[in-house]
Amino acid sequence: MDSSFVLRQLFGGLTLSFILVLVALGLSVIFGLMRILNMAHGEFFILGAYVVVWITSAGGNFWVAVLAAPIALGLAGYVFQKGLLRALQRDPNVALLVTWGVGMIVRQTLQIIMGPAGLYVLSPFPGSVSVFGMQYPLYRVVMMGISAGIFVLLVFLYLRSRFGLRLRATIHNREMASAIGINVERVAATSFVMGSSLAGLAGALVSPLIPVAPLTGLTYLIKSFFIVVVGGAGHLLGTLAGGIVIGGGESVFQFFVNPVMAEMLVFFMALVIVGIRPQGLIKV
Amino acid sequence: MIGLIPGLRKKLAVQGFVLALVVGAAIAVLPLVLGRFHTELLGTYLTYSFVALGLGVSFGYCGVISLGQFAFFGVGAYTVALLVTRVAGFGLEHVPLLVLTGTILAGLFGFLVAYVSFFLKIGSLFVLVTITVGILLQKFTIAQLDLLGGINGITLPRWIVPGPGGGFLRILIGILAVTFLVLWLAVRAPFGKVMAGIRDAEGRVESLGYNTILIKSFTFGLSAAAAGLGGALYAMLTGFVSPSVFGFVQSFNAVIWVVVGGLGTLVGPLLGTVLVNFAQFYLSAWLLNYWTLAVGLLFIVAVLFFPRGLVGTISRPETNRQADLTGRSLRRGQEKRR
Repeated sequence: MDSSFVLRQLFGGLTLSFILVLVALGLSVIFGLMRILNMAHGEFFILGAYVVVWITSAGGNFWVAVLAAPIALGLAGYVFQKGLLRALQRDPNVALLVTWGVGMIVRQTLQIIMGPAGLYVLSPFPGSVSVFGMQYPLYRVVMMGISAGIFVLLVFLYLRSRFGLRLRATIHNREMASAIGINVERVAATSFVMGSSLAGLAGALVSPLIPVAPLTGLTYLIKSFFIVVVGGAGHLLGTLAGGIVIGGGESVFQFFVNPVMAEMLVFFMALVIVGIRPQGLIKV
Repeated sequence: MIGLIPGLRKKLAVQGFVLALVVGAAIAVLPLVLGRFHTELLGTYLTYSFVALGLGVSFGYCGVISLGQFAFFGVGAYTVALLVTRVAGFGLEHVPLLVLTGTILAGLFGFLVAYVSFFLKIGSLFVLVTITVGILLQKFTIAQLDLLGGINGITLPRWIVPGPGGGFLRILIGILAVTFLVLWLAVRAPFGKVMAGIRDAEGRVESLGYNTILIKSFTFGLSAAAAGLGGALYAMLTGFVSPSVFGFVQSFNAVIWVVVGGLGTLVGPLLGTVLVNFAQFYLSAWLLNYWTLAVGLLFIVAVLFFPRGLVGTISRPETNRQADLTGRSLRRGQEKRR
């Protein structure tokens, strides 16, 4: 096993982590705010990728599609929370089952319209660059840059803006936030839309790297959930740490054991981390 | 305990009598009425209904929701398949032993998964653990080409597979009735009251001195054992197991059966499984891909507007507006939230 292989593996794991963190952020905020496990979040993600498939196959530009995806999914998230969120807040079990039902409908609709097979999107940057002395696909590097930029933007929003302040207050203590005049319903609705939009963006960004299939969203949903669990719900930096632990852990374990075992180890690791630090890795 | 409450013993006697009558009639009549094809179909669905029964107990009575219940079904199925193909010397007289082994292993596995998770304070995120366990087991089985047959699965020897005819269906109904009775006793016993207490207010039950982690894990183990029993019987009935028995989609379908049938009852999951599966069989030929779409919609409508399910709606329709999925009063829930 030469060092460039190790580096490539680690780098691959890192790319995946970046995308997973974007997906997990939405889940994390929604879970932190409302204690709702949004089981349809993976479908928002894969719909973002399908938006790119649709627009580029109609002759549109890739980057236009990447911009369109978060807008479209944000709108979808708005409709979703407008229609169902009130009913969902009744009971976490109801929320879990209903969002799963919605995800099921989206998956099946995609299967009927687009077929079950994976579709591919051409990379807008087919070339590769030299990173630490090894050749690496240019698009992956660009994608990581964009994801990192968005994350920094979000951290700034979370820590420095008025909305971020209200959001943190609501996550910390919903009753108290409501008592001092924060419209917690609106904070929840806005966060839900932003989370959906982020998932759509992540899906759009990752679309050239994965087969876009109706069931892909599900795999990402479960991985993102573990990031949320490990990182602590509603904490941005925790989510980042969770993403690095889960994504990085998997690529490290893959050196030693087969992929299935690696996944199992990551799962056990997540369980143990939750046991040791139930409040999440980092608490901001 | 039962005798202390006047009138209850009589009610129980009546219910027991009705149950015995239904089971007796089913055993006697069903194989005669149904053709060979439908006998086999019903048999398969009845093995599924073990999963639903277990889920009905752990979700409906104890509030522990699982989206990976078919993982335990798979453990039961693979245990039987592995024992008869990889270990020599088993004969027909060992079948009860084999089935029992599958049941116990699945139950132990379920107990362990639940105990570790609850011990690590995973709480409401346990549902993620169940999904992951199901998916990982399936992947693990696919990867183990030598021992577990990989994606090709394991074909069971002919001697263990029951021939055509109603005999196996009769045995199946009998085992189902016994399982039903055991679970029914569990939820009716004082233990069942503790389970319901955990569902409604876990903190209070814990304050009363109960080890809620142990009780929840035991309930989950019981439910996993029921699923394992179903899986063991399924392996015999179909004579073939493949990684798809751990089916992620099936696991969620099980939740649909239970919710449509009615949570907080035991008849509900049973009825839900048989009805939804037969509906699927007939309607999917006609609706094709739209069937899953229809089920998704039906499921959302059921959760939002008929949370008490078929059985709950028929017996007490007004509770649909007053209670949530597991029959907990909504008004009290709102008070707690404020």
